[in-house]
Parts: sequence; C-alpha cells; structure tokens
Amino acid sequence: MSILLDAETRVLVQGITGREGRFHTQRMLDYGTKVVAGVVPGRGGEWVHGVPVFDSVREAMVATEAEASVTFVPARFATDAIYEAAFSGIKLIVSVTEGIPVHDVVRLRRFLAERNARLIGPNSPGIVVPGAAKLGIMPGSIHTPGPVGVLSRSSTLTYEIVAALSRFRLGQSTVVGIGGDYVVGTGFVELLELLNDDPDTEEVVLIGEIGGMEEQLAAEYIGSHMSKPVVAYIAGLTAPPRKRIGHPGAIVDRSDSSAQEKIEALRAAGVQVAEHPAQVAELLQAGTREGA
Amino acid sequence: MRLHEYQAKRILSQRGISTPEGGVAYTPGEAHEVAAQLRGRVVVKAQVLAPGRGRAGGIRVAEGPEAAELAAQEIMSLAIGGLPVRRVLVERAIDIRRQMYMGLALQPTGEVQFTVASEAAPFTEPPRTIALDYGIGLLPFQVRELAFALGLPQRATEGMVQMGLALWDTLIATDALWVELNPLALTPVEDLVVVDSKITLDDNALYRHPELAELREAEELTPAESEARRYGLYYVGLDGNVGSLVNGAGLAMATSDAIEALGGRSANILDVGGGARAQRVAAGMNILLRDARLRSILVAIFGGITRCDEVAAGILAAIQCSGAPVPIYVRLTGTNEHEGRQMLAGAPVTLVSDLYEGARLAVATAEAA
Repeated sequence: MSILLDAETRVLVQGITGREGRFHTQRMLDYGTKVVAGVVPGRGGEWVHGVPVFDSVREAMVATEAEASVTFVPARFATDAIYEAAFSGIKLIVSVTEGIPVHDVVRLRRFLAERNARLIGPNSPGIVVPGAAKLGIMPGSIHTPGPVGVLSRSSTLTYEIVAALSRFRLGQSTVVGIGGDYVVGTGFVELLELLNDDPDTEEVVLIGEIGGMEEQLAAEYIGSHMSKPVVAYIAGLTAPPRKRIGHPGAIVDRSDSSAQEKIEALRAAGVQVAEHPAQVAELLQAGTREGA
Repeated sequence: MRLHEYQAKRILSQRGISTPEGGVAYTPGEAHEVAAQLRGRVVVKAQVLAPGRGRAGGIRVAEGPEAAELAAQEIMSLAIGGLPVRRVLVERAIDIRRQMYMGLALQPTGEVQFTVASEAAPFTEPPRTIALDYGIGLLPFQVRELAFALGLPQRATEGMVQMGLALWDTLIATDALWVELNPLALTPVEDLVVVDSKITLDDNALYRHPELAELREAEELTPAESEARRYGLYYVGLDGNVGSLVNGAGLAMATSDAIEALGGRSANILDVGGGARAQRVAAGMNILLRDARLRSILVAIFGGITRCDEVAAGILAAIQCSGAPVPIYVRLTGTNEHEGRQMLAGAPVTLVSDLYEGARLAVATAEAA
C-alpha cells in the first residue's frame, strides 16, 4: 500500500500536448501509471502516446472516470486549470508548475479544503509510489519499493536522498515533493498523518530547507503524534539572511525560518537530523539495526 | 521583491494612507529643488535596500534647500551594506508625538497576521498580533480593539481603523507578502502619518501589475548577481573561497552547507536550475572561473530533467574560454551520466562519484592553497 495513489489510480494530464506534458506522460506511462486522459482546451479529439485528449476536465471525467490530475500548465493559466479540476470533482491534483502567485495558492487552499480535495504543489516534482505509479516529473529509475516514506520541499535533494536510500537498499513506500513555494497546497503535517496511518510505511524521511514554517509544524506533530521514527535533513545552514535561494519560499526573512531553528525544533521532537544528504541513509540503517 | 521606501509610500498614498509630502532625487541638485518646493525642515533619506540605513548616516534632517543639497551629496557618497546610494527621498519633516508600528504579513499557513505595537520596531514590549481569515480580511472592530489597547485617543483610533483597512486593500491589490508601517507616527494634532514603510511583493504575480514594472528596474544587484540573472541562473555570493555550481536550489544549499560542515568556506550558492543547456552551464562556470577569490570549484549535478552531457559541454566550453585556474571537482550523476563523464575524460577536471567526497576534496585543496 501507499498514500495518495496506487497502481490502479486513474490519472488525467492537464496540458498534455505541451512539450513537458507530452514528455512526462510518456515517462509516467513507462512507469506503469494509468494515464487515462489528457485535457487541453481546443485540442479535444487528438491522441498523445495513445491517450485520448479532451477539451475539458469534466468531459474527460465522464469518458474515463479519472480520479487524479497532474497539471503541466504554464503559470498564468495554472490557477484556472487547478480550479477546473477541483470544480469537476478531482480529489488529488498535483501541480508541477513553477511561478503561481502566492495569493492564488492561498485562495485555492481555502476552496479545495471545502471540496475535500488535495493540491500537491505548486512547484512540486510530484509523487512516486515505487513500482506502482508516478505523477509528475521525478525520475522513476532511482526509486525502489520498500518501507520508507519520503516527504520533501526540494526536488533535487529528493533525488539525491532517494538515490542514496536505494543504494543502501532502503526502499520507499511513497515519495512526495510538496514544492518549495512560500505557500503550498498540502503541508508536511497532513502527509505525516497519512504516513503514520499507512501500514506499509515503517520509517519517514523529511527533507526541509530555510523559509516558511513547515518544519516547525512537522516537529510539533511528530513530537505529539508520530509513532514511526523520522530522520530529517534541513538545507540552508549557510544561507545568508534576506536573500531568496532559488525557491520563492526559501528565504530567511524572519526569525522563525532559519535552518538552525528548524533543526533544533526537530531534534527536540525526537527526530534524528542528518548533517549532509548521504547521512540520511546511514542514520536510517543504523536505526533499523538497533531496532532489529 | 523588496521595494524601496519611496516606492512603498507611493503605493500606500495611492490607497489613501497618509505619508509625508516629498519626492525622489537622483542628484544633490534635485534634492535642492524638492526641498525648495516643500519649504521648511526636510528629511533626506538614502533609498537603498540594505538594513542599518540610519546607523550608516543615510538619514539626515536639513533646515532648507541648501542644507538638503549638502546632505544629499554626503549621503550619495556612502555605500550602505555594500550598495552605493543612487537616490534619496526628500520629505517634509513630521512632528512626532508617538511612534508606533502596524503590519500585515501573509503566513506560509495562508493566514494573514495583523500586528500593531505601541512603539516602533524593534520592540521592547511585545507587539499585539491577531491571525486574520484570508477570506474575511481585516474588520474595523479588530483594529479598534487594538487601538483602544494601545491607548490611542478617539480621533487617532478612527484614523487607525481607516489606515488598517487601506493596508489590507494594499496587500491584496498588489499581491504583497508583507506590508509594514514602521514607524507609524501620531502627530500633535492626532493625525497618523507613515514615517517609513516596507513592502515585499510576490515576484510571481508581477506580470499582472504592469504599473509596478518600473520597480524592478530599481532593484539592486551585484555584478555577479546581474550576470547570473541574465542567463537565468540564481547566484548568491558568500564570503568563502570554494565555489560550487549545482542544479536545484535545495542541492545548492546542501552543497554549500557540506563545504562549511567540512571546515571549508563557501564562496557562493550558484544554481543553474532545472533542464539547463550547455550555454547556461557555461555562463555559470564562467562566473566561477573569473572569481579571483576561489581556490577550488565543486560541480555537483544530479540530472533529472538536466542532462549530464549538456552539463559536460558547458564545463568544457567555459574552460576553453576562461581556462582552469583552480582545481575543479565534478560529480555528475543521473540522466546521460555516462556520456557526460566520457566527454570530461580528457579535460582538466577531477571526476568524483560522491557529493560529499567532492566537497571534501574541494575544501582540502582550498585550505592547502
């Protein structure tokens, strides 16, 4: 089992005829994901890699019973695409798009909460359930099935750490990139709750960075509710204040967002915090050996 | 994007928030003109996006146009926080009876925090804060309650309610992340006037605010930062001697952290981003190869969308153009890794297989140099 999706989840790709949409649809199909439909307004009736394209999400859902959507839509049109998916009844929406205005995401969060729908991202590399399905742009080849749940704010660090986990024969149950924006649709805490209840997840890796307060909220939850061991890595100890580091959310602008404070909050909650990415796998392995 | 004080005040006054009369001057002569129009006592303030303006001598009171011109001349010869002062704001001096603080900040949780304080920040006593529901916004009674708690007189209380509501409108209308009035002055006649203000806008939303486009031009970047931006790279300069080039912001931070954790000193955080082609990689490498502070360079790439052969081609092109003045360690893994490593086989670089090992070598070289 896994969280959010599995091999049976019927997936719709918004923006399937674009360069990225086309490319990653092929990759998702290769991985075994059930991509059942694409949506591009005005391109209904076309086919992409054997997947039928529809003019609207509603039409696609009537024809294919799609349950989850991944959006490869340029920033200026992405907010509309996410609303369209939610209005049509999609409950899981992954947005790969970088550069969606923050106020739009705040409004989307409120709307989606009312609809009981979930947005992963924006600016998310996606979700991978190793061996079963992937939604988004993560390279499938680095993943192996297993018991470690991985949650991350950074795409490249996810790849770096997942590849190391796989080298150490520490397979993954579900890997989720929540995105590096200032406000995200789904935070660490909601996903920790799901992993905590997931019978196939035994341990959790949390990958954070400067900016925002996701890590502090996660630390609070872990300290009071988490029954499974958590190993974390937090990037940005050397990041200078008041400079944005790539991600719109990665900026030390206020006292609550430095890497050091996040590390301290997590350690206080009983989380082992790695000093560099490769150490995550070492700490997990050491923990498993102790437990065994 | 952080705005200059004069830009923030212009936005606020357009929404009915009271700010001192004044104007921006790009030369001491212009400061003279603005002061002459204002008559009386003026304040000349450096417009520079660096903290500690006042302490650095960037804010001066002047009694008339000649004094304002002289003050402007002196302020424009300063560099504050490493940035030259290119413009000053000349404003009518305000009689201040009491200095307060008012701010709105969009939180990562999607709530908006409304804060008032009975003094200007940094606070000696705790500010009063409430979390607002984004969908409802700031309500008059919420401001009134806080104004009463601060002990404001009746006239100023109503003024604060109006100002708070206008501040909320500003936050929403400009797609701002953070708006603060600090200090907010109470005058002897119980008016409220914004003495200084900071606004941070959401870069992602600038496309729908063409009227704010000029603000970008006033942004201040170091030469390396602006060269990087031209090629779509992120560059943040640090004080050390080990340069690193990576793909992805998280990996950039992790690499810089690893260098410091190993006892080295990181010179920068340079991110070529996702899917970088050879030209963008070469531009990033050239920034590093021309940096005379560097004693070693670490390239750490994890290719997903980014292809390692494109990275290798970029490295080769940069070395051909700028040479290899210091040892270069390259960790290439991921998409087209094999091709990339082969292309670098004859090049004056050392291939390593592990990020941490690469960092160790780069630090050892830099410390030995």
